[in-house]
Amino acid sequence: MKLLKLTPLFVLVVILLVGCDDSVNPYAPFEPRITVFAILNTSTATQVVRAYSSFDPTLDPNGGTAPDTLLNDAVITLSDQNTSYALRDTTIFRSDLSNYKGDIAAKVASLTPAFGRSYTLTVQSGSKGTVTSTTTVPPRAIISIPFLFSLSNPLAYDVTNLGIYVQTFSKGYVLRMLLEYEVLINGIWLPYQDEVPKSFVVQSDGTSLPSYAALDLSGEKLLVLSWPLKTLATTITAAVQQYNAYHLTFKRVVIEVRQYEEHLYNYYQIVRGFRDARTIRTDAPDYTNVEGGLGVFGAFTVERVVFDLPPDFISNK
Amino acid sequence: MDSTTKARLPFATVQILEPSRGVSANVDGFYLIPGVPSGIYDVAASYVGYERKIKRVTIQAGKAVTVDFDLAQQPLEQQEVTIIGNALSKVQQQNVSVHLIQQSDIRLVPVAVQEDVFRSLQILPGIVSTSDVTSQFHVRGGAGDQNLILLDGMRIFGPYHALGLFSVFDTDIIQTTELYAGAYPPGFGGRLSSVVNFSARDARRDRVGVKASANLLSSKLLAEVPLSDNLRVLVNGRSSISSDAYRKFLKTDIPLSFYDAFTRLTWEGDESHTRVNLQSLFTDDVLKSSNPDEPDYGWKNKAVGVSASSLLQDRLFMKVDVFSSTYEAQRTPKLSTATPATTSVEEAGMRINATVYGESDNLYNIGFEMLFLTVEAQLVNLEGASQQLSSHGVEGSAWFRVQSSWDELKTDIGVHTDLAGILTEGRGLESFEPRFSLSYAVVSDWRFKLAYGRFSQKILTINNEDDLISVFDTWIHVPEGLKPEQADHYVAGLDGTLFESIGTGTQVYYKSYNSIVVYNRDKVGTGDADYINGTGESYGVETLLRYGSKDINLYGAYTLSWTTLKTGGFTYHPRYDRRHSLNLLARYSLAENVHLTARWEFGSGLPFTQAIGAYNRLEFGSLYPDDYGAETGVPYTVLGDKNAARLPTYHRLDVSLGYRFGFFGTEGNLGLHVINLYDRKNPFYFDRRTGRRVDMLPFFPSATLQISY
Repeated sequence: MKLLKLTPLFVLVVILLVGCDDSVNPYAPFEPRITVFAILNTSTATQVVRAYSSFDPTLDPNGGTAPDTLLNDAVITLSDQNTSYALRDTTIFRSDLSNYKGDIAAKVASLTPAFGRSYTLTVQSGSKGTVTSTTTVPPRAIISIPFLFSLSNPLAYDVTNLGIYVQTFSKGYVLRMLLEYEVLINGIWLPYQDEVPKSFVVQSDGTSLPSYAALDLSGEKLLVLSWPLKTLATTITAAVQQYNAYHLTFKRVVIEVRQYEEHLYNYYQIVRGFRDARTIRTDAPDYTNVEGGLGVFGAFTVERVVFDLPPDFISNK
Repeated sequence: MDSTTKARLPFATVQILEPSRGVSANVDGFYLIPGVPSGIYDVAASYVGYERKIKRVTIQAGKAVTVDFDLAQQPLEQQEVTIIGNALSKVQQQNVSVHLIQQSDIRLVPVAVQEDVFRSLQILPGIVSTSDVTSQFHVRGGAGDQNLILLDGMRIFGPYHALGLFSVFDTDIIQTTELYAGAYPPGFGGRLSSVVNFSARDARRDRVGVKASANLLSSKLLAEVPLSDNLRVLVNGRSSISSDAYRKFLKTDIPLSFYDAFTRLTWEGDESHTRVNLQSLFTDDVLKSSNPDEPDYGWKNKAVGVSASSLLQDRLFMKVDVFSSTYEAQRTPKLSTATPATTSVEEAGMRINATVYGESDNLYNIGFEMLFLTVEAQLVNLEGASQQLSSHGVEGSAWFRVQSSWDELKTDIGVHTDLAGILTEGRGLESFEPRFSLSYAVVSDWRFKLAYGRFSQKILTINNEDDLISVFDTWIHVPEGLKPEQADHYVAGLDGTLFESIGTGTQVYYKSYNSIVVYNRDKVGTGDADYINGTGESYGVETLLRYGSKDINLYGAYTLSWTTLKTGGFTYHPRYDRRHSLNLLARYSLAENVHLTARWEFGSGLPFTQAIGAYNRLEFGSLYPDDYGAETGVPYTVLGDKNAARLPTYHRLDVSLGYRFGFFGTEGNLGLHVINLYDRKNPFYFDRRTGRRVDMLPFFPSATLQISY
C-alpha cells in the first residue's frame, strides 16, 4: 500500500520523460562561404587570386571526401581607385597530391601593385553570394646603410656589424641578406643565391644551426638594425667549400626589406599559433579580412639594396 | 558530542529554554553563552539525527559553567531525514547562501557506483555540473576553479578522482560540509564563487571501529582506534579495483587506478576545551590508456595539517591551523596530438582565528593567514616551444568580523583584507573586501536576508576555451600586468516554513565580475598578451522546497540563471551557463530498514560552439608568399559564434534501494542503484572533426555493500 503513495510522483516523472530523446547537431546548417587568397606582391607583374568555397565540415579532406570546391561561377574583379584589372584563368601545378589530385585553378592579373595604393577585390558568385576585401600596399620603405662599402672588405667581417636603418610603413617587416654568386659548371656560369643567416644558434650538442630572418612587428617607424657580417663570412666559406672544385665568382650582396601590410601580417601570425614561443594558449583561432568570407587579401612590398662585390673579392677565381 | 562514539557534533544548536536564548556550536562542537544571569535554567541541545537533550543548569554569579551534552542517535526509523542542507543551525539563520550538509545527506543522493559529496552538492540550487562523468561543479555562474575546497583548513587543489567522476573525499571521513554559494563571510578568501569547507570527523572514542565496503569501482577500509583516554586515530583508505565501470561510463578503454588515504589523529585535553588534530590526505590517480593515440594522465594531492583549538580565556576561543598542500599533475601525450604538460601547486601556511564571545551573543572574529605559495607549470605550446611558468610568493590576509543580534535582526559584518595587495602590489583600497549579511525575522520563522561581499582570486586554471571538454587544467598565477580577478556578490532571500512540515526558501543573486582573466581575442603575435582582463555578470533566482515526514521526504530545487562574460567588445555565455535547472529528490521508507530514493535532474541545454564549415587554410609555408598559389592548405574547421548554440535539455532519473541490516554486532548496508532509469541519451560531447557523438551515462545498474563494526 505504501508504494501506492509514490505512484503520482513516478507517473509525473514518466509523463515528463518518456520519449524525450532530442537530437542535436554539432554543425550549424552548412552555408558555403567564399574563400579567397590573394597576396599582392610589388616585385612581380603577375598577381594570383584563388577563390573557393568552404565545404561541409562533415567532409574530411584527409579522407579524400571533400570536393575541391572551386568557384566555377565566380566573377572576380581587382581594382584600385582608377582601374579595374582583368583576371584570366590559369592553372598552378600542385606539388602535394595527398588530398587532391588535380592542379590548382586560379586567376591571375597582369599588374604590378603600386606602393601606397589601396586595392579592392570583389568575388561575386551566383550560388555563394558576394564578398569584398580591401588591402593597402605599404608605401616604399626608406633604407639607409651608411657603411655599405664595408661589405667589400671581408677581412673585417668577423668584427663588423652592418648598421641598417629602415623607415617602415607597415605592420610587419622582414630584413633579409642574400649572397649571389656564379659557379662555372661544364663551361657555363650558373647563378646561385644563398640566404645569409641572421645568426647561428648553438645546440646542446655543440653544433650550431642557422637562424634566418623572420617576420617582425614594425609599424610606421624608423628601425635601427644591425646585421652581424660574421654570418656572411660563414655563408661565403660554405659556398667555397661546396664548390671547391669549380670556378666561383661572388657577384653581389643583396639587402632586402619586405613590408607586410596588416592583414597579411595578422593572418600569417595566427595560422602559426601566434608565432609566439612564449604563448601558453593552445587554441587555434582564425583570421580573415574578407567581409562575409574566409581567407586573406593582403600585400607585401619588396625593396632591395644591392652591393656589387669587387671582381677581386676573396676566393673569386 | 555523540553519546556512543564521543565524537564532537559541529554546529549543534544549544538553547536556554526560558528566557529563550540560543547559540550554535562551532565546527569543533564548542559553544559559549556569555552573560547569563545567575539562576537555574533548562538548557537543550539538538542535532539532526539525534535525540534532543535537556539539562538543568545552575548558574552562579561570576562563575563559568561547563555543560557538555551527550546526544544519543535516534533509531533510523525515527529519524526525520533532512534532505540536503536543511540543517538546522543558527548558522543558516544568519547567513544567506550557506548550506550545511551532514554525512547522512550525502548518502541520500542515488549514486552511480560510489556515493560522493560533490555529487550530493549538485542537487542544491545554483550548482551546475556540465556532465555525468565529472563531479566538478559551477556555483552561480562561476568557473570551476573559483571554488575554494578546504578539508580541515587544508586547501585541496585537485579534489577529483577519475577525471572528475567523483571526489577524493570519502564520505566516511566527512562530518560536516559547509557550502557557501555566495557572499561568504570574512575568513574565507582567494576564490570568487564559493567555499566548500569539509570538516573531517574524529575517530570514535568508545571502542575500535572498522568499516569495509566495496563497489564496482573501489574497495575501502576504515579503522578508528582509541589509543588512550585523550588520543584516538582514524585511518581510511580507498583504492580502485576495476576499470570496467569506467569503460562503461566513458565508452573507451582507460585503465585507471587511484587511491586515497586519510588519517586523523585527535588529542583532547581534559580542560579548557583544548584539542589538537593532525590530519593528512594523500591521493594518487593514474590514467594510462592502452591506445598509443590517447595521452596518459596522472595527478596527486599531498596535504598535511595540524589544527589546535582551545578556550584560552574566559571568552576567547582560539584556533590555529598549520598546513601544507601539494598538487601535481602531468599529461604524457605518447603518440597523440596532445602536448606534454605538468602543473603543480605547493602551499604551506598558517591560519590563526580568535573568537571572542561578547555580550548579547555578539561574536567577534579576528584572524590572520599567511601562505607560502609556489605555482609551476610546464607546457608545450602550438609553436612547439616548451614553456616553464613559475611563481613564488608570500600571501597574507587578515579579517575581522562581528556577528550581532538585536531582537529580530541578526547581522554579520566584517572585512577580509589582502595584505599582499596592500604591502607589495600597491592596490590600496582594492585590497579591502567588505562583506556583510543581515537576517531579519519578518514573521514567525520567516526570515528575510540580505548579503553583500567582495572577493578576489589570484591563481586560476587555464585550458583551451574552445575545447568541448577539459581534462587537464593548468594552475597559474594571474599573468603579470593583469589585475587579480574580482567579483561582487549581492544576494537577497526569504525563507521559512509552510504548514509546519514544508520548508521553503527563495534567493535572488547578482554577481558582478569586475575583473576576470579571459582570452585576448585580439592577440595576433608575440607582442600581444595571451590573456586580458574581462568582465562578466551572473544573476538568477533560486528556490527550494522541502517536505519531511516519517515515511516520505521530498526535496525540490529550481534555479533560473544567466551568466555572460565580456572580453573586449565581445559578449558570450560560458560553457556552464545553464538557464533552467531543476532537481527533485524523494525518499520513501518502504519498511523499517528499507528505503527507496529517487532523484530526477533536469537542466536546459548548455552552450557550445557549432562548426559552420571548413576550408583549406593556406599557411604560406615559406615566409615569403611569392609561391603561395601552389599550396593545397590544411583543413581547418570554421567555428560559429562562441557558445551560441545549445545542447539539448539534460535529464535523467536515478533510483536507489537501500537495505540496512545487522548481525553479530556488525551493521551492514546493501544498496541497489540504477542510474538513468529510462536510458536518456544526454550528449556529452562531439568530435568536431568527425561529428561523432558521445553520450553521457546510459542505463546503469550497480550495487554497493558496506559492513561496519
